[in-house]
Amino acid sequence: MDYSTYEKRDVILDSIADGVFTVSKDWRITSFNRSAEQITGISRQKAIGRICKDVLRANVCESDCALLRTMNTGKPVINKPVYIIDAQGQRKAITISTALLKDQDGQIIGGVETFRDMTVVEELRKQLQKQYSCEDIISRNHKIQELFDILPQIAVSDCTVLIDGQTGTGKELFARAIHNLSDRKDNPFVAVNCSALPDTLLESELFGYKAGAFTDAKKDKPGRFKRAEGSTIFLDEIGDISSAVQVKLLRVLQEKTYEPVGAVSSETADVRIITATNKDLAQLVEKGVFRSDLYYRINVVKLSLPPLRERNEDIPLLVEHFINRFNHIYNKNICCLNDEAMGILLSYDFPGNIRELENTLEHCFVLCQGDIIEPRHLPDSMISSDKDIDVNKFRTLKQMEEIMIEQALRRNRGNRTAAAKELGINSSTLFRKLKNLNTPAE
Amino acid sequence: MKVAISVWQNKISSVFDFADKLLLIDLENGIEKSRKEITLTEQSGPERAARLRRLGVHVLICGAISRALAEMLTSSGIQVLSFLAGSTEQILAAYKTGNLSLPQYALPNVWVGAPRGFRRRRARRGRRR
Repeated sequence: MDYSTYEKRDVILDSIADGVFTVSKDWRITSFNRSAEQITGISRQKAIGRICKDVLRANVCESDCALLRTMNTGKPVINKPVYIIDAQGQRKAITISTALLKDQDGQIIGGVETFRDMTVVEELRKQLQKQYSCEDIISRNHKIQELFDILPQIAVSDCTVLIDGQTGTGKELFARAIHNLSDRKDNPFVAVNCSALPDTLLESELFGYKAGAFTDAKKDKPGRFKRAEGSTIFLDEIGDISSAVQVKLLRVLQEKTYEPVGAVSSETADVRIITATNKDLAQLVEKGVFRSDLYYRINVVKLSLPPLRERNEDIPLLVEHFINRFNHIYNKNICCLNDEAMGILLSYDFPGNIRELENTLEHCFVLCQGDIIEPRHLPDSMISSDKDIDVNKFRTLKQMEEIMIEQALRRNRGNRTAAAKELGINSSTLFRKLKNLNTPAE
Repeated sequence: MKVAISVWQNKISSVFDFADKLLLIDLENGIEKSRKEITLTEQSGPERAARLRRLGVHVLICGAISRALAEMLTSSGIQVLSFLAGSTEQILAAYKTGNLSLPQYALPNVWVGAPRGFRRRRARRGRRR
């Protein structure tokens, strides 16, 4: 090919919306189009001449290379879904297709791989089917990591699990992670929000009913326990169920049987039960609102999820994750938050936890027209709460000093020199004060 | 000190998130005491991080790695030397001599702040002092 042929080929390849690269027979990349640069985040100059698996970085490269299969069989691979790690370290869903490259004499000279970014489709699929996995739990917090250390053992044990944590801390995500790590993972995970249904409905929803059980019950209806047969049922807000449902649930846990509403015989249940609550069940037991025998039955293994304000170090990671997701959903190109906006998030308490952070960022995406989120894009309530420090709640000067130092450190992402500058003190003074306050190093 | 290298056919595996073999090497003052190959069956990042913690790994040497997994490992106290390419023995030798940051071992384009060879970072810290 002469120079102009090369040029024409590049122009054609660059006009394609799908990523395209070609390889020689020794797997080195010979061409790499513009979409391939955008999807992988790797420039053409850096990609050409490299082994393709070092550039594409897909989960199948080493275990089931699509190009190798095409080279061996001569048959193309079409739209195979795979994951890659792009240059920004993000996991991306793509589909790949492969074909042989032949010269004028029909001799194989290499292969061509085309790939399409499926991140949006993957995100929407996850949201629709709620198929979140361990991979979707983003945390560098030591408490969460300790939970992960024991999660595989909990998953295989088949015991009842109680997950407690404030609203929006990811209780359902953990329940799904346990299910996905267990032997029951091939059967559908069934989630029920107990507080979303009135008491009478909850009973028939959980256990089903027989025809004639009540007016308009014209035929049998299987309950959620039936649908979760051989699988896992997740009962959220378990602290809100009535004493009648508590008795029925206790029977399922003790005898592995239940009776649908209006039934004359019992049905067996091979179902793993994971429960969750944002209430203090032990306190409800003391008050006599929650049965103690049921409490001990569901509290075989207890996972306590920390609120977001106790895992502050996760905020930048979560922000990045949500920015990435919303960029695809809203078709925007927002890169980050500026330091001031991030400082506000870091010093905010997030009573609604991760769900509130997610909604906050969605709010920013609606308002932000540029590529950097600024404080003016944040909800007003968040900005005013950052400024309001209630002096009356401090009893001593030391307490006030502690809070102000903590907030300054949060706003400056743990940077002590910047925090000292903001507080108007020397950094060595801040170091000394921190030592006296016993504040852990960031 | 336990050094784990994610491997594939005597080379560094392209992506640690998807690798299924680890070479676990016990080093004492730069001298290799033992080595064994471990199969990684864990699929998700958090599970992988938990497995490495259980194995008592101090340093992970690998190819590409997702940012989330790299953060999980570093916050567990595991040093991550990532975005490296080459044969296992070459990379191990470069690690022992502090030469992992040489360009011939680097994968193309990585995110700013990705944990790579340690020599350059050490030098920078020294200059700051």
